[in-house]
Amino acid sequence: MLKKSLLSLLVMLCLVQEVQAQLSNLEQSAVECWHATLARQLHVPDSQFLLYQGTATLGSSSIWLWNIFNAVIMDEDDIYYNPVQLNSLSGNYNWLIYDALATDTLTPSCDLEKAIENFQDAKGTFAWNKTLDDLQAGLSSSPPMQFMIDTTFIENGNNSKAPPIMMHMIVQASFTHVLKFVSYPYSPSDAPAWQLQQYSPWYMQCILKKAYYNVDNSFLSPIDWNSIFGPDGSLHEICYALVVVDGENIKVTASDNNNTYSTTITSPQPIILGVLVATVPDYILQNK
Amino acid sequence: MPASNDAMQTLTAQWYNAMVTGLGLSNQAFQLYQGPNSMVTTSQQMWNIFNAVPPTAVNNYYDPTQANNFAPDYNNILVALVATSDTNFQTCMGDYYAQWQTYFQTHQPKTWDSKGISDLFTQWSMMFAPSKSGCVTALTKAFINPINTAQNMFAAAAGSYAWNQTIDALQGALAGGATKNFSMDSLTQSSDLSHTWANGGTSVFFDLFSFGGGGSYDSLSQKATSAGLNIKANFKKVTTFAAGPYAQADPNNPVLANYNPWYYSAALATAYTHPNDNTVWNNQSATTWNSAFGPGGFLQRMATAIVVADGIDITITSTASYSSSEQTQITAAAKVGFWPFFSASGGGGSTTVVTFNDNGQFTSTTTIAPGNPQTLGILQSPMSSIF
Repeated sequence: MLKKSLLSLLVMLCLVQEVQAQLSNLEQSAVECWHATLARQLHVPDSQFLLYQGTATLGSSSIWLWNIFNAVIMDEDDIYYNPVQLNSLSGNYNWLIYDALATDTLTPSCDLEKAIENFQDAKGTFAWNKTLDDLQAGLSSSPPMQFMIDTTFIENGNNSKAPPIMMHMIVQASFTHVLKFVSYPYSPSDAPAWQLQQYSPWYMQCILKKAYYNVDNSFLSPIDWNSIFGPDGSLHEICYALVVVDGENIKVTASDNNNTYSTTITSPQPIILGVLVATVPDYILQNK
Repeated sequence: MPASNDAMQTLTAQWYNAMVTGLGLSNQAFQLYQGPNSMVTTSQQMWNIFNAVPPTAVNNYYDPTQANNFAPDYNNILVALVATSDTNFQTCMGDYYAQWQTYFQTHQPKTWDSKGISDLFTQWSMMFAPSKSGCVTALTKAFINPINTAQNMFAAAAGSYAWNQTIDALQGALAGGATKNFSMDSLTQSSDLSHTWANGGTSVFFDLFSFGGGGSYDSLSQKATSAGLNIKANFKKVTTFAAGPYAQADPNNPVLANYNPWYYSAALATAYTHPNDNTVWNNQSATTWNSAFGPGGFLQRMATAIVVADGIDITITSTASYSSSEQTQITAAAKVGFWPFFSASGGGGSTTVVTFNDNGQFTSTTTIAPGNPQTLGILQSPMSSIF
């Protein structure tokens, strides 16, 4: 049993009334409470944090890592991350530079021709500016995190005469290391790193910015802009960080009107707890 | 429909909800898995699961011979796309287009890539058309034509369609997987599937209590489910293992080094985001946006991850009382194994033991030893969410 006095546990109280209004059942309320609490502990907005479903351990290569960063995030689920790798930032970026309108003169500050050359030089391997070694080194020196959730969820059934269903939940969570691992597509402006020597920088942030803001439709036609950035476009949200933890130990005790349920989740190796995602304009602001 | 089927459908729904909560999954993505061999031992077997297009149901009996797979679907879409012509260059050049063409026919670039062509064009424009220097991008982007790239990559794969993770990686992930356990009481567990991604759709009944299948067990099944069941599941290792179609070379991976990347997301993205647009879709092709992605289309969703467990103990306790002849039937069925782990039927490191107490109530314990990972389900995503 964890001792509060030793671990300086924070008692997190989820906003039961608010949760009740939004959710249809107690289990979902508990998940939403867990998500909101983690976001608070990580000091990130709820809207940017998505929980990994189940347990995902780390892969063994930087390519594995970059495939996660490269995957475009769908924006339909506010809580869970679906690790789909069918739509990519690199693929959308390919369309941006391919569809870019040719102009009579080059723009030295954001050279489209250079962007095309860089993209072709990458030969289909799209690196990010951090590697798996960076992640592992960062994790081993990152701080711990402990917190506690002690809250009660109440659900009133359709029958107003029936007593409400209550669930009391206590979660004690501790992690020996917690890392927000931020990485961006490998760009010519990145400082040279020996780990990336065998890869070509393929991405220019100014292209995404120019395409997204598309002043006077000077970079993309409105049709092409819509097919990428519009409501039904293919570039939704972009992953800019993984939340990786080591030494996970989570004890959950939940009791309702009839039963008490408890479980302990432990992971012997580092796992991905979730990802941080940004909309395109936020991503442009962050990756300067 | 026999009453036992109703009961099993309810149990299936309850098991789905219990697993979603117990394993920390989303009911907007998870699909229970059942198949003739839920133990995956090779990369190809694993890729086959990822390749299979999932049906709209919270559970699926996976058929390894199923016809609808992602790779051929993707190819059908690729061949239906218009190979984009790069007319932008001619428009940009205007009156200078013919002069450049003449020069290009008599001057070779140093290298046949975007840099070589760019250098040659820049040299020409500096001499003859400085005001047209910017048109070079319209010329060189032929080298990054996404549709051409996709078609070339698919052809180079020559029928071998890998995913970007291998069985070794899955085993590594399992070794570091979490320990999880959960329980389910059929008298209290919700069977409501209306909030799931499949809106309550189920495709097959899991043989949770069909005792190996067959109508002769109907009365036993009904008895068991109506009296109430308690299921306790313990997983020593469980992991959610994501993979995508092999899109970028991983030369340091000893297995993937033998395959060519074959998937290029830009092509599928533009196909999906341009419904009924004949500048993108060839109107002479049998494959259309509607036949691919529309209602009833062949490519509705994709498997994005598999949920795999190793070292499993499932204890099922029934409060129904069984006669001695029924006990004999149940014990015989248990010997050949029953759901949820079909592959465990008499093999795969699995044992099932059934005991009865003095009241004829039974406890069934299925144990699958570590080293025999079982696929519990997949995460799926609809195309409408991917693009």
